Amino acid sequence: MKTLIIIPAYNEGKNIERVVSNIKENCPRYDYLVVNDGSRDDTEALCVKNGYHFVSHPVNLGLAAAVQTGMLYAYHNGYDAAIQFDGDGQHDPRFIEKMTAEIENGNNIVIGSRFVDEKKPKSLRMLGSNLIQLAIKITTGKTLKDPTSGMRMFDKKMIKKLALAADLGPEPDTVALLVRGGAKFSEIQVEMHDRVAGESYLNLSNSINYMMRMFVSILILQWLRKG
Amino acid sequence: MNRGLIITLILACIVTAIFVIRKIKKSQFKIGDTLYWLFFCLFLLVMSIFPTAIYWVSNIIGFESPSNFIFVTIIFLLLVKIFLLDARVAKVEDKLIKLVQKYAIDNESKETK
Repeated sequence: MKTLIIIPAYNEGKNIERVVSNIKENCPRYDYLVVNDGSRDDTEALCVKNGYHFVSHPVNLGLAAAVQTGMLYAYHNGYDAAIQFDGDGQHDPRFIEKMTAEIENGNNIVIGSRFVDEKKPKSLRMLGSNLIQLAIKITTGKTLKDPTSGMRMFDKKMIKKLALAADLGPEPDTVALLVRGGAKFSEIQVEMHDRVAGESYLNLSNSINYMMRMFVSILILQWLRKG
Repeated sequence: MNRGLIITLILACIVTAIFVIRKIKKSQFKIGDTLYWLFFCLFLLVMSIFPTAIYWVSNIIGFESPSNFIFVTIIFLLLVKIFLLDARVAKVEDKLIKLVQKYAIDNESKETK
């Protein structure tokens, strides 16, 4: 199975070398592609210096477009599966093989989940996760234990949709929409690490904004969109 | 409608018209876009020249005063414009993303080590 590991990177100069060498070490069988999303730091220079496989946006378009560029590449080059793998070192490449096996088993979407076997800790962030889980349960009838996990693998059929649609960002509402459209998904227990360097974009106002968007999108706009 | 409002409307109409004509001369506007603003001017002009028409219409619809009717109409016209602009921005953004993505993929750097 031809699998592509998509690494969106925006100003990840401090992380990118560690992330890519980790992938090369642990998953040498799979292709990877760094999508440099118009970084202003040395991300692109490091890619050139190390001879990585990468594409570069000349301007910053945001995470959704960066992941989509990866999907577009996967679509044009006939990949059977593609996984979004964050450029900040939170995801662990050792679980990619297990996730690929789930695609081979006929799933359209495989989610690297923190909470299949383990319980969700009680925190404000997890309250948000639970609320999104509930919203997805209401609209699709399916239980997705870790909807906000960014570690998602897609099969060929989903790659095509994600590559060509205009508004399917790497967010829980996209998963909900695809599942409502008949996509089969499974969750695999994975470990995630705290980001080692750089800054997370999650602060209070961003989080509230995010939750609002997810709720409106999953509970209301979902019915107007095509899955 | 009082004299002040009428004069303001005529002035607004003239200023808008001058602005639009300048933009056309410098060809910073598309012809299709100028049409909206020229109609907008015309609307202001008609209202200021024939206020009796406004009295009549606002009376039929049930506005308390003709000036309220004018305000609501202008707000509505502007809302329509914002709505159309919003749709256009989304379209332009979408095109930009597609363009950047194509450029990026066409200039792919293969793995060398």
